[in-house]
Amino acid sequence: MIPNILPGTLDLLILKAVSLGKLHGYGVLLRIVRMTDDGMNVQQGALYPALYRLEHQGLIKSEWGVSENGRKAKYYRLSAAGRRRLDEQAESWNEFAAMIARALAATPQEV
Amino acid sequence: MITGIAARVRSLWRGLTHRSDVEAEVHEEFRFHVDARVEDLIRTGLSRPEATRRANIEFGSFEHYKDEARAARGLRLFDELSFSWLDVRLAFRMLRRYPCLTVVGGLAMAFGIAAAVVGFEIVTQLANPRLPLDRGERIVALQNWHVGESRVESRLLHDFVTWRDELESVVELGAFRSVWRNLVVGERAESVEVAEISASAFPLARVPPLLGRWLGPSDEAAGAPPVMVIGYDVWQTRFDGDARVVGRVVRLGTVPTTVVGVMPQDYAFPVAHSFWVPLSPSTFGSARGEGPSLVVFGRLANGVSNEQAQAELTTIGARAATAFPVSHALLQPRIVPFTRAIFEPDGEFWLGLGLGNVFLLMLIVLASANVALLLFARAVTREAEIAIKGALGANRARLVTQFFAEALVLAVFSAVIGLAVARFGLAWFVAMADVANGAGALPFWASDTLSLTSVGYTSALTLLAALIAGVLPALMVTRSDHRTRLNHLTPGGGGTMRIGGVWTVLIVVQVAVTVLFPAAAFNFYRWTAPAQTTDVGFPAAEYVSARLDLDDGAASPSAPRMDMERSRDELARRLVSEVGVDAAFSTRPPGAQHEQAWFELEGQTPAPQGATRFRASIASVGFDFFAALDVPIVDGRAFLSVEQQSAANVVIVNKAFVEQALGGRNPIGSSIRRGAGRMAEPGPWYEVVGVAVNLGMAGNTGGPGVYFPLDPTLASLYVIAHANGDAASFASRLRNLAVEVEPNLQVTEIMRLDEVQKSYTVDTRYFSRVLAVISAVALLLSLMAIYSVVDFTVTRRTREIGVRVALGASPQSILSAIFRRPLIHVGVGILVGAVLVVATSSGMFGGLPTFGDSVLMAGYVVLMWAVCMLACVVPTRRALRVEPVEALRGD
Repeated sequence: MIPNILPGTLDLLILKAVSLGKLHGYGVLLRIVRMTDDGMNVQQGALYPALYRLEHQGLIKSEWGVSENGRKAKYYRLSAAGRRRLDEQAESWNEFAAMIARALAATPQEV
Repeated sequence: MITGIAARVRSLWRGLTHRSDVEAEVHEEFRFHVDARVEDLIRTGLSRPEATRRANIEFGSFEHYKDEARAARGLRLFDELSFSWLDVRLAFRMLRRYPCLTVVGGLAMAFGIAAAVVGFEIVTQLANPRLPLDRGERIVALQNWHVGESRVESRLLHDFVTWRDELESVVELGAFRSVWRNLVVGERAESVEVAEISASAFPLARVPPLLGRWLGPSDEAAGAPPVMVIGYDVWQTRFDGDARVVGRVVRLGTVPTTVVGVMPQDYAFPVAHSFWVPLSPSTFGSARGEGPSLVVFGRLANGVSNEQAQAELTTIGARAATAFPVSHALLQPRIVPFTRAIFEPDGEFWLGLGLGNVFLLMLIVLASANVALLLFARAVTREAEIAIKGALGANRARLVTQFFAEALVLAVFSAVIGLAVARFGLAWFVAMADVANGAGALPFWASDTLSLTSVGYTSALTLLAALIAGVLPALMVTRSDHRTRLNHLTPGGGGTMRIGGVWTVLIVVQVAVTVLFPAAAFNFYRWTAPAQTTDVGFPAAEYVSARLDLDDGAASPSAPRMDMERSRDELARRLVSEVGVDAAFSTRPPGAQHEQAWFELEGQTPAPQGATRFRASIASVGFDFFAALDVPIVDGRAFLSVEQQSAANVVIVNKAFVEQALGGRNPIGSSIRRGAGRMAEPGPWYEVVGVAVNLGMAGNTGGPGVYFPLDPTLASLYVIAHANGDAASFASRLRNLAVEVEPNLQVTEIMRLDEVQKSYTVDTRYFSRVLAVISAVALLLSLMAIYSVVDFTVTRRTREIGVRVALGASPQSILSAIFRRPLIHVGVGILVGAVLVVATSSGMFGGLPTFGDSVLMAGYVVLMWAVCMLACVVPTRRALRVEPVEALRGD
């Protein structure tokens, strides 16, 4: 079963996705799916409120451009503030994940 | 952080102002997403219809995510408030549709806002004065606080020298005092206020001179040549803007003084000065704790806080207390803001100011409540519209918002007008204060422009006004649910809205206040009228009066000083010989406000009205006072010169005294004395030797006056003389003569006698005008309220009137049935107002109203009633024209 995305992690994934190059909303979705090896189930419409929230906070910036199939599309890229936020969150997430991993790997001798 | 806030503000602003654009963009983005997904799914082998179906399911509801998108942009709050441009546009439309309401309500609010802002600005300036100098907030004053007597001890010459030598946390320490000197430029002499000030004041203020130089430390040395710096205005008026003024020698008192610099326009440090001479502590030579009163000032050294400076000063103060216990044991030096050393408002002052501001705030509340009443009354005509809006799904909040929007738009307009009026009102107020205290008397930091704080306060007032005027009626209008309202709108249903208790009280209070204000203005006028209209008893415009003071300072060894008595006699002699006029001397010029005192009559059988004490104006006058003014002694005789020299116990009373205190009895030979007071024993007995005509000794009681012989020891008195046609040229001759007689004789307040009277009534005339304006506004508001209530009544009862007319009722019976309640409200209001008027007038004039007063009062009540009825004319005509068929046909 494909897991539902953990609350709060969608923002981090979006920041990561757009940090790799500017993308339109559907592109963000595809990149998240690819980055997670198809392992995350993102409710597609839910992506947009998250994008707007990040834009409202000044973490990503948007501009209208032309897509690969010639249609008008809105592209997102990381702002300087977004870069800082991504670095902070990535670090704390890694620490958290490592901690949980250590906890789950604990053997009876260790406790 | 900052960029984050900026991004949020930008995003909010765009979301609010370009709502439809933003929504279209969101829709297009969603569409793009779904279409791209469809193409991808088709590439996996699905048919287009199937791919479209899958893509839509995967995406979810467009509307749901659009809603979430608005929330993500922080717009949800605004959606819930549902305050949109539509509301504002609607508000504009409503205001245009009811121009009368807009104009009257708007003006009332504007007046309230203007008055409140001026009041607030005055408080702001007094509470938080700002010195308009470079880093002015670091300029402080140093005082000695007398612990035993709870007062400031300002004789601190020695402390000043100590502080200047020892204090490190306060730099550029200086001191000043204000003195009056005769300035003689060429042929022209006049008395001017001079700041004797330390040279350090100039680097402290950091304002470079326009011409020449500042005062310097070397100017303070004993024996240094006397120098002076002058202000820009003085340079322009006294020296005609002469570019070579620096180096000119003028006389200050007896001392030839060189002008060394001109300061730029608007420079008036320390208070409102235009002349600066050096202060030389070494020249005073007085003992510790004595000497002149000084204000000591300085600038907090860089990086030093107020507390640190205070700590250092306290240490120095403790040393002084040990070293000089006699003079300094009870003195605590302290550091205060510079402006506090010049003017320190006390608790009573703040209380008065606070109450004044609360009163002004009440005025706004009253004005807004009236607008609320108008909006409510108008809502009656819009009841159908409101009911239908409700039925179509507008909730209560929505309707309230719309009312609020309307009131807000009106309030914002009023605030703009109010601010403009306040700006000019404040300038007027500052100008008035300047006139009342003599030109330029306000300190240089008093500003006639509105501060940002006051503008902020205006926004708060605007919101308050809009809340009262908009939300109050909205809540009442929307109290019943829309189904009830719709039912009531069906033929025969009648309206749901009623004028309730709140409104009734409001109208009664309103009318009472309206009755009270013009009467208060009239009473005030009557109270002060004697001062304004008393005939001084001779052609005042032909006479000039001037105040004479003998200055204590700037004595020159070469010119021995004369005392006041000799100066005065010499001046009178020269006026006769050189100008050809007799001079009269008095402690007060006729027409001015005189000191008042209580008098007792010797061995009096009960005097008229059973009183034995009389209040009368008093003056001390030269023995030839009446002869010099060419006014007759109607009974008895004038003072003799020997009586003046021996300070004999004789008095002259005026005719008003004879009539009012003695009931017309001949007073010659009888005795009077100053009555005993709470603090004083009764004075010695004086024999009445003469009766003079009434010479306009203005005072609260109008007339009675007692003249004493002139006390030769007085240091200050007025000279009055006939100007022989040209007051202006006489004034300059008088000034020059006085300086020739005694260089230290100050001549000030030179004016024609008829102007004396005016100058004493400036304040009261000013206050009368303010009262008149308030009365007019109160009257306008009242009429507005009465009109709206009566109009409301007619609208609500149109159907009933129709029925009555159809059943054959006479116009009189219809009017009495319809208007009974509103008219009772107005009647009660007038009655309450009348009672208040009687109460305040008896408080002001004492005793019960006379027959004449009663007639006047009755006439006034009838007049007010008639004025109030004016507001009913239009609705009454409307009521009488109701056609039964029209009224019964229904909506």
